[in-house]
Amino acid sequence: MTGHPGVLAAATAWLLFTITAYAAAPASEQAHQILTHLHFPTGEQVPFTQSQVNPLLRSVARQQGVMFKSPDQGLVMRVTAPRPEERSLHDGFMTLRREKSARHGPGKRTATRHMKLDPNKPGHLPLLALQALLHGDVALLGEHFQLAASANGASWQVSLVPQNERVRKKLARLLIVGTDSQLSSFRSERDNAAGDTTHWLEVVINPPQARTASGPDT
Amino acid sequence: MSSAGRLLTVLMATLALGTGAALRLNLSYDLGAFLPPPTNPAQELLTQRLGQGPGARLIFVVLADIAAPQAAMLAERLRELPGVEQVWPQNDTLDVPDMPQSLWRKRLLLGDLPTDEASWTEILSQRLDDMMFAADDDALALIAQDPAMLAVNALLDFGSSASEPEFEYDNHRVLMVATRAPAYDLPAQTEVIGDIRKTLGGATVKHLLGSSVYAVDLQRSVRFEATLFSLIASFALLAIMIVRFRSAHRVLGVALPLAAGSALGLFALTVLFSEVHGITLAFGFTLLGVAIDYPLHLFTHAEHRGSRGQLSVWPTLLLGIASTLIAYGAFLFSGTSGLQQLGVFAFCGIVAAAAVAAWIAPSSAHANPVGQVETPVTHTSPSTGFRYVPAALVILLALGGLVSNKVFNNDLASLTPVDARLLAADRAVRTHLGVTDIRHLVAVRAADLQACLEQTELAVASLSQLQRRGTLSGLQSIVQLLPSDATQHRRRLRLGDPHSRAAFDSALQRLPFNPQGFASFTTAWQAESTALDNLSWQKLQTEPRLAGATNNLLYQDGEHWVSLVFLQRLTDPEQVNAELALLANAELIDLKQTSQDMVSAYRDRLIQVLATALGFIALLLLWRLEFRRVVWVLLSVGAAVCAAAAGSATWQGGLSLFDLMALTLVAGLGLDYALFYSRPLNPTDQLATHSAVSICALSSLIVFGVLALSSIPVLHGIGTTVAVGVVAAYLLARLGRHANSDN
Repeated sequence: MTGHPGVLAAATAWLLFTITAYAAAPASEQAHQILTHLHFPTGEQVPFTQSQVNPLLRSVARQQGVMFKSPDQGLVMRVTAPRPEERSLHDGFMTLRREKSARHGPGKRTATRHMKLDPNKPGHLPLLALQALLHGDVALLGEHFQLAASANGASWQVSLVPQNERVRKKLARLLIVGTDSQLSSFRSERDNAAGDTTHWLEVVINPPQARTASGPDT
Repeated sequence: MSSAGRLLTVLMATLALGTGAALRLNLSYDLGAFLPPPTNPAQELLTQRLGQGPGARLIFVVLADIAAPQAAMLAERLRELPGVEQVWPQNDTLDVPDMPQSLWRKRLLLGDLPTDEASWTEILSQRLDDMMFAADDDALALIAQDPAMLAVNALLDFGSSASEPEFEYDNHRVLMVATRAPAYDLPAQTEVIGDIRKTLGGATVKHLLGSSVYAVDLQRSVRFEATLFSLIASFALLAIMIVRFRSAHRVLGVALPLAAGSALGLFALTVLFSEVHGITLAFGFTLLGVAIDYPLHLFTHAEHRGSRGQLSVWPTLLLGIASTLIAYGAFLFSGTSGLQQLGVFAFCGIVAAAAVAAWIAPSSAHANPVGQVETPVTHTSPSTGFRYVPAALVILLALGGLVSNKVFNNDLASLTPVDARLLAADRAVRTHLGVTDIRHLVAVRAADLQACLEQTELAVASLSQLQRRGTLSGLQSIVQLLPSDATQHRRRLRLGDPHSRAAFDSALQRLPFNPQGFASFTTAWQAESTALDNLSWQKLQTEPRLAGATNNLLYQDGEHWVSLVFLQRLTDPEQVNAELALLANAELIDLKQTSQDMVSAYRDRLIQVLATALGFIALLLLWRLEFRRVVWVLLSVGAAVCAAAAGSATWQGGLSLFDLMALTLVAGLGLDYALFYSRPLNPTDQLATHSAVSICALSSLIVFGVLALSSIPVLHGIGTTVAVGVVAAYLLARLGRHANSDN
């Protein structure tokens, strides 16, 4: 069907229109439009890698796995390496399931932890934002962040700066990068007094190493 | 004073006393106050800590058609209720600022740090995973200062009553709520359960389980049924009185002594005791039922023979009242505050009822001197010897019935009216979640605190072996938060072991951690290895979040310290007994068995008290009556009590404590009937006596017969026992009339 000239023309026209519209719109409105048109089908499992740098680490720590939207507006991140665990985000809560060695007795057991995600905590806000982003809940993002966007052809970047000043001291921004309606990466950053980024956490969607099946380097 | 004036005076006084009592009344539900003095440590524990164990304070909310996040939101709302201490699944984010500071400062003494590289690598890898979803300053600070999570694990182990992954049961989500108030504190439980129900709102709740839930619901249904049956019985009684006396004046005169007795009894309780036990009132009102006979005798005899009839009744009535006072007064010497309260209530109530009946009776009698009188029944008198035969036969048959069945039922749980399916669901959910066993716990006693903690650590070590073998799934003990000084000393020595520190450094190198990031941890490690002070009980007591829970697990009892270890999913108590056999100060306590032993002791004490009272009553009767009449009275009363006991034991699978109270009332009523029927009488007196005793018996039969229709086993039991007893006592007492006529 994509080979049909009419469909191709229509798609091209729509793409040109949206790019033009992005370029013409003010930054926050442009960000709003980009985020609204993000495409992430429910149920589709998408590989991801998650990387992090913080003062407790001397090199990048990585995890990889698959993520998918659950039909009940939730987001599941299933980590497969280096150690399996599952994080379910839903309605402001995260449930973490992880295999642990049993402290009393042999074998392993699955430990489950439940956490309420507090938007006033710099560590929790990115998780809330990721869930909102994939479900197109731009209103929620707008509630907690100032949105700004820039585009270069089909590629775009949206910056989310926390509205809460106290949170902003510990979470400088979230950067969302993508092409067309596809999300490529989601990154949170924290700067020190000199303006250098000291902490970052990045989730890369459908990363190249997932396609080449290379392992993480933790 | 006119008769109306007397009635009005009594009515006003009753209302004043009743109001005064109601205003001063402070109800207590502490069963410990109603139990006999404990005779061994297990009984002491039961009376002191009744309903305070973590298992007893749990409420389970089984939710249908709800996803985990919605359930988590509900849990969050439940956590905000003032009466709720904790809700599981826990929102287990613990940051350094949230930590009890005394515990946090001594975190390195709360567990054994690993000494080998592999263990450190495993632990640090988990911290790496933790960082990947929460890398804010608080989380990083916690990881940097306590990478082994000794403080977090101690708190989670201590606070957790169940394994986290299993908060689903039969495809339903379960929330587990621990209340602050002990299970027996019904007013507090009523409030918190009401709040929980309100909070659950529109959620589909399949079950709300827990002993306090049943108690609160039971309280409601008991109140409903008691009110309903009381109303039915009262109306029936009223109808009989109206038909019998055809005078509102006189009907009021019959009701007032009982009401005045209840009011004075209650008022006396509020003056003499700071708290009145709920059971005292329940039993007390039952026992006071005999007082309705006093005005009935006086009015009926007055109808037949005017004031002469009333005067002729008084000697017998006084004998009955004195006997009843001896029986009820015996409770004053029972040695338990609950029974003493019962004695005060019943004694004062009987005195007041008798006095009021005496004061208002002449006026009431004159108000309607000629009532409707029944036609006398003509009887054929049996022979003198024959009259003992039915009573003796009843006693023999009843004793035979009692011997062939279980005489006493000490299991209070068997009296529960809670739906068996609900109880089965309760058991299943508790087992599934592995919550602390309500029935069994381990108690460790020692002369001083440190010895108690050391013995508890030994007991916990033994129990942990059973845990590895699957005999139990977990335990909760004070030593998880407060190790003994000896253990803290041993851990401190290990902290100084250079191999352990080297293993930690190597593990850090193998992972992408920055060793500098853990400087605060290694500094604390170094400092603790040479510190002199330990985590102490006193310091732990300063933590408001922990004080309640820790006091429940460790407390001073006189000169001893007692530490309790609560067990989860215990499958074989015998193995625990075997494991603890080597520890002199630790024992497994079966609270159910202990409570049954105490109920049995309580019952024996009650029987002893009543037997003594019976002896005094017999002496009184011998002093006032001729020997043959005394023999007859005691025989007929004994037969009525035996018949009621046998009937009750057969239908209910054994006599409960409540039935003993009902039997005391049967004895009181039976004595009344037998004394009146066995009086030497002329035909007019005989007619009046028959009329009076018949109306007394009919009244009691209707009141307690209606109560026997209750679905609440306790009310049903009391109703059945008294109804059977009244029938037996009445029929047997009538034989006494002939016997006396023969004389």
